Amino acid sequence: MTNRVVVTGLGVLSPFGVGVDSFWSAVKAGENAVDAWHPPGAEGFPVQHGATIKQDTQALVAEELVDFKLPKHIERRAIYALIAAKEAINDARLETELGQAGIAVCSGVPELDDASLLALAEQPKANIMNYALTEREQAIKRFSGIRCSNDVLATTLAEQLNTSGFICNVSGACAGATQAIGLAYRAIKRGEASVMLCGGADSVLSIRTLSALHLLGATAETQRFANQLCRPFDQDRAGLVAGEGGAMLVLESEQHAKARGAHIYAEITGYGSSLDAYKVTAPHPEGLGAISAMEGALQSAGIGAQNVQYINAHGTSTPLNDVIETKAIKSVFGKHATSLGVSSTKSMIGHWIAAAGAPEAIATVLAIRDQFMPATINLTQPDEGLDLDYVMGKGREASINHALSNSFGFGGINASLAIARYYE
Amino acid sequence: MNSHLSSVALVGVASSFADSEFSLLFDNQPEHIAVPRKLKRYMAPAAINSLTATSEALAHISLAERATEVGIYTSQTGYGSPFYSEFSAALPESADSAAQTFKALWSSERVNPFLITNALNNNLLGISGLNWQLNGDACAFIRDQLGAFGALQEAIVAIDAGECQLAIVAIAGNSNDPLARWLQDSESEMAEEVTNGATTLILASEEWLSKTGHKAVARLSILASGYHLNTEQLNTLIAEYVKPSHFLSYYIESAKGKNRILADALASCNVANHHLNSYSGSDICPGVVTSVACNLSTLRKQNHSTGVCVNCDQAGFYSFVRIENESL
Repeated sequence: MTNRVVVTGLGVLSPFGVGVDSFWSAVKAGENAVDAWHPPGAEGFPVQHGATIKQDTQALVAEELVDFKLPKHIERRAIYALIAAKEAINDARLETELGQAGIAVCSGVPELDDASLLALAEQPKANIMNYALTEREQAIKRFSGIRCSNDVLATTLAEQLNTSGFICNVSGACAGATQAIGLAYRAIKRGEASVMLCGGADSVLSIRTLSALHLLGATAETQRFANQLCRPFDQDRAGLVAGEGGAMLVLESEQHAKARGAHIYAEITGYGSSLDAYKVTAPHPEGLGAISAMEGALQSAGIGAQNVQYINAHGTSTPLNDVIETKAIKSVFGKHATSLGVSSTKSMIGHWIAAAGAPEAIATVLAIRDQFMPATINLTQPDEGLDLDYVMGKGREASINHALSNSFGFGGINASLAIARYYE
Repeated sequence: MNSHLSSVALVGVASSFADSEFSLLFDNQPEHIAVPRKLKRYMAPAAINSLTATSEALAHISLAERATEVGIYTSQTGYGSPFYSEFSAALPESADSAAQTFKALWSSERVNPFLITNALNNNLLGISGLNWQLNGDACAFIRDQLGAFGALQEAIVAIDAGECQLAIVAIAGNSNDPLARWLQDSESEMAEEVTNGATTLILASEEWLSKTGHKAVARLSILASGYHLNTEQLNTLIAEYVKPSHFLSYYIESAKGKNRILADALASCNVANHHLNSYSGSDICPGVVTSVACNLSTLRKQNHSTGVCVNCDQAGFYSFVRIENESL
């Protein structure tokens, strides 16, 4: 059995606020959500910018999740996922079908609240482990995020929404959400599910995770560009700028969507994933894994490279990714590469790490719906050899029938989704 | 309640566990393979067991032809990383403030910069891909029993859908991590060392079997899986899938509520079985993949033709998988 897979619901909680409308109107306008960010109590923290959710988490719960019975301790990213899922479900007008829906989501590194970590760090070295282990209640709060429940998104959504269908929680580092959407697409295509809720939510704006990314040299730390720090493809790009949020899509088989009269935004036509087998923290210098993922997406979509008009790039603003992604696009698309619009919405919303692919897939769906390519903002001078059409500075109207959404992650994991305008 | 009927050929299976009562259930325990020093830097501790198990499972299989036709699907149990000791060397003996402690950390060259990749749940996927130079379809699933099931399920359907010809399903984990144990039970004794373990299954398409002349050692079918099993559904599944002629392996986390009912119902079936939880060391990487390896090992030893594995995690996610022994 092979089903066509369509997108019938969207939900986003982004640094621009709650809802797809606030997200997409800001992205279309080329607004910048990156701002100064200083974790309280960590003076001199090397990472000083981020794209944060402005609303207080408890206020978000009170306003958006009043109908849910949430557990006492629930991670911020699970709250983000639930808010986005609720909007996507309402948008898709899923009712009784929700109980049979499947779930495919992604997770990164579990949350650990900064206050707890700081309290721990204030202990003399000899006391640190003892301190953590002798204050059980505090330690559970502090460490349960490190050690436990990294399937929190899948289990929280399944429990709160009372779904009983196909379920998986992917760990694909920065490719995680694209992989989750890809697996949801496959599950419907192969007939294992009729409806899937998929996407991701993440927040790495914490001392612990950003410390680790800093140690790896992945974060942008210069003060030179203030909030214009996320500069994909620019000659002065200096690393990733972290963001946070949740984004979910409802995918359905075409037959299921039409039978219930659902509104169809677009069609997911293909998915490709691959491994670099090169290095854990750096992409293959020729982009072989990225090439393989994009070719896989085109192949499963049954389209040629010349059919594609737009790519929502991984575009992290790191020195390595942007060069190699450009190389890979040139390799896959040949001469057609210069006819493509290639933009990075991370320039506006930052890098949501494990969840990054979810808002980007939604931006791609809406780009197709509105026939509008979002911009890469903060890009003033493309780096040497980066000579594609990166939709610099300002988005524009364009004819888009087929598009790709790329995500590449630590561990050398690559994923690409093919998304198309829906025709009966 | 999801029902699945796919059947897929199993062409390789191996496990690598620290010595324990549980490890005796397997055919043999291979020696750890040698891993390049550079690769070790990127690896979470349990990865060595997984590379060993995968190497053993692939012993008679060549990956030389086209690495893009080989899919790999992984899951991890426990973290194993980061340990406190990984930060310890960089921390000042005393600090006036948290900022001072963190500054020491941020500027230290004594902290492994790959800490975050070692802590990620796709560490095993990346390491395995590097070690075997795999470029094909790939996914890491989170985690424990749900992750193990996700990896097996995706491998089966990827083979079925032609997305790969050969699928490596690699699961690794650890237990006795002091912090994790303590969080579960503050009265427990601190274990002196972490113990690691891993299981790998190699699945193949019919096309690959006929092309290479390999024989399947077993066939696997996912019979049912999902959350929220009620008593009626549970009894239906057991009646339908657990037969007296089968060998049953079951691992049910948490002896409370519905899980207790499931464990009791399975224990009272008139069928030869291993209650895997009762073996010390079985918590290293519990889940359907390890249960399948255990079950097949017993089928071979006892000349049984059919086995069934039932797994259920703390959150109530359950799975039923059938194994047909093809080596009789």
